[in-house]
Amino acid sequence: MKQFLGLRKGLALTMALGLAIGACSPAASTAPSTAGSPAASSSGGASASASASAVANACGDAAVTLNVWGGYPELDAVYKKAGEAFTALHPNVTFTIFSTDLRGFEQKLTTALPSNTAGDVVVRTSNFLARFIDQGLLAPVPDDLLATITADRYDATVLQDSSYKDKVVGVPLFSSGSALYYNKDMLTEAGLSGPPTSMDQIWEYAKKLAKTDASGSVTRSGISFRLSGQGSGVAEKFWILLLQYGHELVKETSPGSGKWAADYNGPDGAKLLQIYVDSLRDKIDSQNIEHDAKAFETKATAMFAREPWVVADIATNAPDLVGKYGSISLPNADLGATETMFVPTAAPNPACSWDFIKFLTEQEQQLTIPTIAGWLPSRKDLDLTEFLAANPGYEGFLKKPAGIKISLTPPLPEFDELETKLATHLVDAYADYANLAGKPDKIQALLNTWADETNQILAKGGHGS
Amino acid sequence: MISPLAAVRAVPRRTWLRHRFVFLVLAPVMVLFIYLRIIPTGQAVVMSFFKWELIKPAEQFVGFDNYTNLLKDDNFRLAFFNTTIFAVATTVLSVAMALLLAALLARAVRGRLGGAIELLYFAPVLVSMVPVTLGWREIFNYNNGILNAGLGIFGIGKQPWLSDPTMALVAVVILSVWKQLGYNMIILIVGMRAIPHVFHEAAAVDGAGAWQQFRHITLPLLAPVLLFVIVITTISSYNVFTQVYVLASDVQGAPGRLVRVLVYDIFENGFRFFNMGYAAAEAVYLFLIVIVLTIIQFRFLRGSAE
Repeated sequence: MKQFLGLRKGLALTMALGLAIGACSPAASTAPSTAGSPAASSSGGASASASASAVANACGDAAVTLNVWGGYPELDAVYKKAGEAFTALHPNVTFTIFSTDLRGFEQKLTTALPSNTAGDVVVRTSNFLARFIDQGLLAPVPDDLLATITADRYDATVLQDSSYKDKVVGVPLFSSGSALYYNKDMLTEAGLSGPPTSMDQIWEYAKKLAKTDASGSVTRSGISFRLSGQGSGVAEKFWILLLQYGHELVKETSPGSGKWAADYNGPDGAKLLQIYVDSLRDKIDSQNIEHDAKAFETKATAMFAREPWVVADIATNAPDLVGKYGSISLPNADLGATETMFVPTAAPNPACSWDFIKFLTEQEQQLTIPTIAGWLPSRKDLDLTEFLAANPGYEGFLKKPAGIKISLTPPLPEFDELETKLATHLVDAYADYANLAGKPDKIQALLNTWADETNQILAKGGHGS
Repeated sequence: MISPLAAVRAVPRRTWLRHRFVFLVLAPVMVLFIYLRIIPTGQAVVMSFFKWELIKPAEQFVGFDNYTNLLKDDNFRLAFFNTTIFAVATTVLSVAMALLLAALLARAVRGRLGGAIELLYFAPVLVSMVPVTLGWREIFNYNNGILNAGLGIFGIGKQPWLSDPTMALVAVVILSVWKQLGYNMIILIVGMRAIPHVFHEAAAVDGAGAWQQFRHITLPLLAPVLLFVIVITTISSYNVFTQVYVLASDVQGAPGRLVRVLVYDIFENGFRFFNMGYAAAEAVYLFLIVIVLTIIQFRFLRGSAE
């Protein structure tokens, strides 16, 4: 009994001591919601030091490590630089950065978010993360930060793309779209005076720019299509060109109805697919040569449509091409996408994470995105005139024609499935170009079959018309 | 007829006591095996009867719907077809070639040269599949690949290894046979060297030639090892994933046609489309296919082994 009493005393003493130490420790002073305080909301133009006190409040004094997770490795240097600047202000905060290719990143998020093992700051589109938001796995944006995400600072499409169910759910970091890259020397060599400005001109130029060897093999494509690869990329590239003809992959049957249907199987969709397969038959492009940025950098293609990161990629991997290429906006429409910053609900230091996110939206940090990574910042109130003068490769992204339509990925959880399945069909069709070239009836029949599948997937997801 | 329970009771207590050390040392492994293998497999079976999203579990009991829908799914049927072609081709080629190499290296070529050749063929087994596949992607390159260059020497035209649907499957088989060959060869060499020389000597005295010795002595005595190699190769072939994933990875749209196989389809349905119940049903199909094939192989080959 004496022994038992002794044990109880010991335990009580230990608990009391533990509580006292806990109350006095620096960690205890880390207020969880100070990010929401007005003091923490520095505006975009404010210097890093101006927000110092607010950040100190949010991150406390105890050692904090923030893990930043993203799907674009070229952004690592941006996070690193911002992290260093943040650490200079708040020495108790250190950073680790994780990134991998986009698909790999999405798969990692898929398992890490439900198991509460994701990073403190996660960067991906709100469309991709919609299911996770539905499950309460991502924290809502604090009110003070929400107040900075306004139409003065961001384009309407950026705000829409950062929203889910009509509510802003994350903080925009950088945005993307596509432009047509063209090799100036190749255009000159083909007797073409300037870049193409209409879709008909693009196809006409592509025909003139393609080259074959003595055996008839394509050695240089006139335009580099996306013809293969896993995932939805093939359908997305088809979609960007389809947008030029005024159509989407899926379209809401009437605005706000929540009912969607395939939109790629009309005459314009058939015309575009016909152009693809005819181009393969006519040796304007080929499955057997390099594609995309690598093809452009190695002069295996004369033109291709891609996002702004290629400008920085060319500077690194093909410096001899700098000054010898240009980019021009696609003629009628573009597909916008905004990479948005989130904090998982299970993140151990949410206040500090949100403050770092706020820090990343400041002008100084936003301007490092194009210079370091080649992507364009989401904020529209930044002056990029000097940047464009120094980097004319971005002309196609920063000088868009007035009235160009910007489309966004529909807020449908099943969109990736229908897009990926369409991509599989497109790859098969491109491989079968010999049987489809010059045969519009066959192409229309194929498109109708695929559209049936798309509509079934939409119906399964509760969005069928 | 004796009941199983009675049979257990009939085991003398002495035997349990005598083997208690065996049970004791096996217990941790068995617990881990049950926890890491048996329970997840059981959970996958349960999951397959539900509409079960990855992050929204057990939404709705759907009975056998996932199984019946799979049979109507073009991607599943294509994946099953491709995987079966791949598994048959890889198993037949890697086992046949390994047998040939083992026969040469076990008896004919020995010493340092034999060891060097064994190491050469076994080396691919030691390297991780991802870098190996990236290397092969360059070898298969249409314009600059060493394979098409080599074929050109013999007047054979360039082959679209990575873009044509059939050739892409052939490319995955070539890569996988190259990777699997060394493992099969080493196991078969060990099996052949374990066969006592006396049988071959007696056969030689009776006038049997090399082929007759191989056909009537080596092969029958090697049957249990051969069964093991065939079963292991079949199972690993049905689980093919990394090669097809890396060969078709869409880094900057490099030529690379996806060869749809079962594990890729499971992965896509589960982790890309979030249809975990559907993916689990597909995994159960794969499990049943491999089990049935293994039983068939045991039936046919164990008979000859005995």
